[in-house]
Amino acid sequence: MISKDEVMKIAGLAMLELTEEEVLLYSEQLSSLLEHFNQIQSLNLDDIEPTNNALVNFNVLRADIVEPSKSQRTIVSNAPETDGKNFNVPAIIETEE
Amino acid sequence: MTEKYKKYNDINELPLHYKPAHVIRTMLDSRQISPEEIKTETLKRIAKIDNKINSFLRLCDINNDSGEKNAFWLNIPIALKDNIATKNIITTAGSRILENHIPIFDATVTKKLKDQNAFIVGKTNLDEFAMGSSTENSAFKKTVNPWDYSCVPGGSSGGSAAAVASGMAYMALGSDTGGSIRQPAALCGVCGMKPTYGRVSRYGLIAFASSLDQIGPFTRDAVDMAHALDAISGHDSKDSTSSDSAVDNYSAAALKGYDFKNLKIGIPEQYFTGGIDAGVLNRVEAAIEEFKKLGATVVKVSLPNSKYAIPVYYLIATAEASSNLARFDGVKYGFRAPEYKNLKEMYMKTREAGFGAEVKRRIILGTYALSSGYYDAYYKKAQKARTLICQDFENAFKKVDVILTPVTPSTAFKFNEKTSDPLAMYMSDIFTISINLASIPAMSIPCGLSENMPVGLQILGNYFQEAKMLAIAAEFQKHTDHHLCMPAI
Repeated sequence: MISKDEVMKIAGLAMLELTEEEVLLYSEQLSSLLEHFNQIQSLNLDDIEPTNNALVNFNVLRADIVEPSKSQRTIVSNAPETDGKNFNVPAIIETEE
Repeated sequence: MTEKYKKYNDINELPLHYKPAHVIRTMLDSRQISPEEIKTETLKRIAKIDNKINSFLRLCDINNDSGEKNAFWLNIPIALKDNIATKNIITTAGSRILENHIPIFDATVTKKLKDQNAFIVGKTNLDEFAMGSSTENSAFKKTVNPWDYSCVPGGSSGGSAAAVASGMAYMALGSDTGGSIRQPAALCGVCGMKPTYGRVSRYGLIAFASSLDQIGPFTRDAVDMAHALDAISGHDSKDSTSSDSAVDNYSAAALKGYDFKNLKIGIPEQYFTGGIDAGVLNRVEAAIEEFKKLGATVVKVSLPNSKYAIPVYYLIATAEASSNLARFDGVKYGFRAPEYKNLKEMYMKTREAGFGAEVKRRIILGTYALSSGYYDAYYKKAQKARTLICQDFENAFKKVDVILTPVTPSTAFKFNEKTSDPLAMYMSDIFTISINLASIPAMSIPCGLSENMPVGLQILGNYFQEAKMLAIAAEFQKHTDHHLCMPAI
């Protein structure tokens, strides 16, 4: 069972501002999903190694060669707020009066 | 009453829009049709029927003449799922948060098809960030099933499946994280393949769950599938998880076919018990009988940990998704909420307004599974159970060449039938998700109809055995006509 408080805490971690209706809905739906998912708790997995991916390549290296990159202007072209060179964000550090 | 579908006796009887790409290739090469004609005919068909089917989010006219002159896909109309980056052409992943996103580079698969000078007709609809099994989670439109407009096309690559099934593209690319190519292929009556993880570069695919995502094609038959895989496979230095193992000549393998006397098929008992509609079971069993008649040996195999696949998959996929989707914060690209007091509020309001309900549900589930206190009980356990699921397949493939199963427990379901119950929607992936967890390749091919709706047969292969699977599928289609059955549109 996931309480409404837990949903709100998790939503905060995930940077989601949920409406009250969403909190209620997700609390019910996630509780029922986790009840179903709890069947994996019955597995004895003590001696089993976890799999991130069955075919993963480890430590892929490449030669350290300088190659042309995209221009600054191109990279910021999709930003919702930009001066053409930078990503504009609200002030992060509060200034003293 | 007009017929809902038509079964054609052979390939030559098919109308132009339903012909396989390899027939179009021959017609183009022998000048029975010009590149302009095939382009015009396809655009006419889209103009005529896509207002009903709603496969495309937008049309684009990519056909630069600088491509390779002998390429298979030269001038053949194809489509791309809208989570595959196309340079200078809006790519949304079906999400409001990327509504106006214009990629500054091409995905590797886009580049490879451009290099062949394929005619890229448009970008197709999908569940938001490829999360869903019906394409109903798209922020933009509802794609219908070409066989019955009151039914979903499946998902998440529903737009790509419907475009190929209704004759608006000769091939389309999709992405498959838990069945998002194979399930809509089955429900729309076309072929769909998820290659081995790493066979196709994911560079430029908007990430959902990075250890499970794989790009693959939708086509009308196995020979076209082989040509599509020839075009998009191979190592890519831009995707460090792409495999550098040798790429087979898939079209040569498919054209050669397969001697079924040397074919050993495995049938996993766990995929044939309970929960499957009788009509689907009946068609899949009939297809297995056809393999037997053609000389194949059928043996039982066991995949005992399949029953854990739904929880394992949804814990891992949502955990990875919650991490991948953290980048959508209203700073670097996409939508930003108009009103906020500070940076944190800007993040929260942007994500609340930009993401749809299913995406938020999965972000919360994934964040929960990764949060301290639950990490060991859910995420880590799921990763360990994933090992067991991989081992099941490794053991099974010691005994057999391929495994045959259903793709879906039912044919296409109605709109809104499963949207209010996430678990019911997740259960529709029960036969496809283990394959992504194990990283093996699998394809869906049409195997007949149940109550006038298509049924898919799933062919599972061992790692990097796509050539063998395609040869087997092509041989099967030489002797059967399920793939020549088309919706009457």
